[in-house]
Amino acid sequence: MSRLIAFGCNHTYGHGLPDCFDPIANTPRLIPSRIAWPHVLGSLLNLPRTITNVKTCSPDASNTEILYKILNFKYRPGDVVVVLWTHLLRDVIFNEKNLLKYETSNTYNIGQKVGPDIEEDSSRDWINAHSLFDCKIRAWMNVHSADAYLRTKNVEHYNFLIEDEAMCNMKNIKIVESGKKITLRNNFWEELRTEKKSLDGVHGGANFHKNVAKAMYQDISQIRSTQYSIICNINSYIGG
Amino acid sequence: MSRLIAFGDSQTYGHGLPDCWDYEKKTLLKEPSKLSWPNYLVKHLGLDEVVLTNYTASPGASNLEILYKILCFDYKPGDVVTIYWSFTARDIIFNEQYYGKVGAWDTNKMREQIKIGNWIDTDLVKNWYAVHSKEDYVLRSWFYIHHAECFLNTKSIENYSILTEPPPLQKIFPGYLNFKNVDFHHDYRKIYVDNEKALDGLHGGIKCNEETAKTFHDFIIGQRFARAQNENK
Repeated sequence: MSRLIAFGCNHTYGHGLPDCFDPIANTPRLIPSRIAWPHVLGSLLNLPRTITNVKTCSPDASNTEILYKILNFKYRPGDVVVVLWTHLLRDVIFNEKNLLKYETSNTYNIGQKVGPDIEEDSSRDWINAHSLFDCKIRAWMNVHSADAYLRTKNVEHYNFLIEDEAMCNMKNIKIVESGKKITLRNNFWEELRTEKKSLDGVHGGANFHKNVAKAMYQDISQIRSTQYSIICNINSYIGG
Repeated sequence: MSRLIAFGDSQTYGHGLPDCWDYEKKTLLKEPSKLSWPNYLVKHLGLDEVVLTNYTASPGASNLEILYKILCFDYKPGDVVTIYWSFTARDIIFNEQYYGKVGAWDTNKMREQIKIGNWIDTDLVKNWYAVHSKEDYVLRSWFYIHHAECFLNTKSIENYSILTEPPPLQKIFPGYLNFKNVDFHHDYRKIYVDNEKALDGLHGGIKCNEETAKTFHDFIIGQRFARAQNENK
């Protein structure tokens, strides 16, 4: 049975959508939304099952955490993987027992405390140690790593970016130029900004998710119809 | 022309070996040594040329820097890639101001990328060590090694990896990842410990480099043999 496996952050989880939002606690519920883009896209692609769970997406996930989940997942023949990569200024610190998360605001002021065991000082240390440019390069390397891995597994896969300008507006950098060959539609940030918000007032509402799924479907269909298959066309890979 | 492309850090560069050591200033010269392990390995493997430059091997290189250079290198058919991965407790902070050019790595600019390592005493490095745990940087190194292997496999480039510090790397091992070309059987750190040091008193001397090349060669031949057997089945 073919499955759509959707990897990502809160934008994939469906944070704030009516079926996974606790309005009293103002927090996401424990199971991802069925209104979010993965389920809409799964229907459009006519795939019998769509997989979104804590092993594929979580609120506040960084790109490194998304990569970690992609590497951890057990794939089956016929799976289709779609990744919506997240914001740049996030990171995860791997710990023996759990994953510790960091998120910063765009102003570099201070990291937002999002994990249970994080001291604010640690978050500040992270911000002081990494630059925006550094985060961009690392983000592209995460995309690149997932792509290389899924190619070796012969898993059909598609990459999308939530933060287009910050990641794509980098010229003369080989890893980015090669990443653009991999990455498809990347204008979701604008849609997120303009569409009606979800119940938490921050994330995209149901219309945002429908639009994202539709745009992804168009891109995936186009790629499939032009035979630009990530599985088949190894020569289109970097430098090939 | 068949090439051996040797990626790594100071041990691959040949830091402290007689032909790349400034005896007066007691520092390394600007070109890699002709006495470091890749120069012996290329002969053992019968390849035409070794590519060992400031680009492929750099003193103080972290595993992220090594990976980045692997991803950006221009390969030719028939290339054999060898990687001597570095210590896990190192990193690189990419710096836009000093960033290199497309395709080719601007070595001079690359030297200005900010390296993180325990020999540097700056606030930035202190911040880095304060935030990253051992589990974190070991796991990240595994991801980098895995990334390089997947990338080179998709390009059908023959590639082999050895590790500077096997014990910490193997203690924190992501069992969900499958490594085909990493030498888990030999302890290259022991070769370093058992042999006399280079002129700087820290890195491996000539004998250490010869031994490393010999052991690495045995691993490569073993891998090739196993692969050939699998193909014949």
